[in-house]
Amino acid sequence: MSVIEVAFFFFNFLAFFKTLDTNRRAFFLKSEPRRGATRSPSFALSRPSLQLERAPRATSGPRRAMEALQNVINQSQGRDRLLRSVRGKTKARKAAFLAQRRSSFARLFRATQFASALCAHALRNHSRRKELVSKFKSLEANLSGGRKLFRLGNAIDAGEAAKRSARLSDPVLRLCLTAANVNRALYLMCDNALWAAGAGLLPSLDRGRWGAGASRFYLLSLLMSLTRDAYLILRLALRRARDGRETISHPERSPEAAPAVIPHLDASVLLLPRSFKSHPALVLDAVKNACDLSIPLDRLGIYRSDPGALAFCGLLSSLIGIATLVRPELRLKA
Amino acid sequence: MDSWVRFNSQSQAKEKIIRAAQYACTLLGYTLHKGGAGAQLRRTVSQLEAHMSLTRKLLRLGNSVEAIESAKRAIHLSDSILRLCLTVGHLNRAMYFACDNVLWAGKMGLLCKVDQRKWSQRSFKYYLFALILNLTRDVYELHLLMEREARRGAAKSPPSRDSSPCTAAWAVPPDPSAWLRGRLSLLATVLHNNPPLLLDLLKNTCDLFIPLDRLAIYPTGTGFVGACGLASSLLALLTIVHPWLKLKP
Repeated sequence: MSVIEVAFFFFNFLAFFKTLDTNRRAFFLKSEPRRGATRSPSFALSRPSLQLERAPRATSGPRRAMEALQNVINQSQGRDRLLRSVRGKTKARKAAFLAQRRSSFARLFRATQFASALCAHALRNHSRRKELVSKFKSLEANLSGGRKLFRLGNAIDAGEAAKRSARLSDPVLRLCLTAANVNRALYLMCDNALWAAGAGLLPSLDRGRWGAGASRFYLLSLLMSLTRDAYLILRLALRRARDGRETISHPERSPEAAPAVIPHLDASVLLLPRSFKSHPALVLDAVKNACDLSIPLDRLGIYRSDPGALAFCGLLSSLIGIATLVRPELRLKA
Repeated sequence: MDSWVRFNSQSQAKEKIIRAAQYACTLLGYTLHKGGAGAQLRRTVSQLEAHMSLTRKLLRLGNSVEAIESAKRAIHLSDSILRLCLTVGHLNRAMYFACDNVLWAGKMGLLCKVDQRKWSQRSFKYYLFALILNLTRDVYELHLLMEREARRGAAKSPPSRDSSPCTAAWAVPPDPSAWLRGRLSLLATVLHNNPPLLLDLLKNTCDLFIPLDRLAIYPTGTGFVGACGLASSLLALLTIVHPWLKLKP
């Protein structure tokens, strides 16, 4: 018998005795109306379901909120209902923010893909590490293919996002975000076609042309996102200047320091860093989009970059994307 | 650990869709083989199936942790049989996912000298055991609900000469066929009133044929395995689209 099989039997043996703890409270049956009965016309409340009553456990409020959350978090329609009904605790609110349309795993795969590309590029000149380099390249190729498959339904999400952004009140934001989402949807559709061609479903597809089209749509989407970021930065800076927080004379300047040659320019230069400090989400989004920009620019031959630099930029933008998932306050809201 | 579980749960719905597509490819491949389709088409379908299988392995990379967390939650249940079935079932699922991760690393070339066949057999053994425990749980809940329904029916109907309070629920009366018909109608009533239990029972039954075939315990053929896999994936998707259909805990 191998080690694994011994572990298997020991594991189950231990779990068997752990669960037969006779100090637990006994179960009892209770008849109660089924929670989801109103969803289906055939299950009216007059027809109660028979469910086992679990004896109440002594858990704290946040723990109960988290348990309720975990039971429905992987259900797409239940997620919206959960978001409306979540109350109170910061942990439950944070977890609710995580229930977004974009897959969190996709970002992790993207980060791993670019990290593998970066490692392969860094080790490319080491003759003794050829096997390791080939492993990194294989991992990168597999992750890239897996991500393409995983993105198969995302064009619809992007279309829905475009419909939502078309209802924004600010005209500049409405234009930028709608254009960005529409271009992202078109990019994802081209990406899906490329996946189908790679999987052998569309063998006659011209991969070069569709790849160039995908890169163009991706580039346009990033440019519109960057335009939105620039607009928000400008608006933020102007608002701070109008509020009078930045005056020509700087109170924090030391009395010994020389006076500013162009006080207005000096004030503007200081205005931007202060605005960034108060809105980190905006800065992160701008950095993320700027990093991502290098990839389509290289693929279209507009601005060639070193493969290592491309991998680094991709990794940085993926890490920023993961950070916005883990800390929802760092995510820029439209 | 809670944040990892939340992080991981986002991809479950897509993994189920890809699973349905993979088993649809298996079924399609069998149909094309039986229908005498061209080799190129069959090769395309099998390549697509292999690609989806590898992607699913990639998506399942974090599922061991989620299964262990589920086992930690299940250990606090008050009902001892449910506690046993669910905890041990989740632990076996965790071991199945761990073996699956090793298989993925072996296919990727990250781990050298991984005996694919041996690790595949191990993973299916854990999967089979987890399914048997899930089915045991379903049968147990069904039994409790049938007992309750039978007691409710006995309380509503007037007491007859033949039935007495001391009669055990499983005691076979003089007319076995009438008794059997009664039990079957009771079973149908209970399953009709509890669609989550019915769905879970069907799903686990369909899934059971997959490891039974792969471990050569009960070979059923590629087509049947594909059909069962597709059916169980569609039922799982139904529980995601309609959350009230998911059997809790």
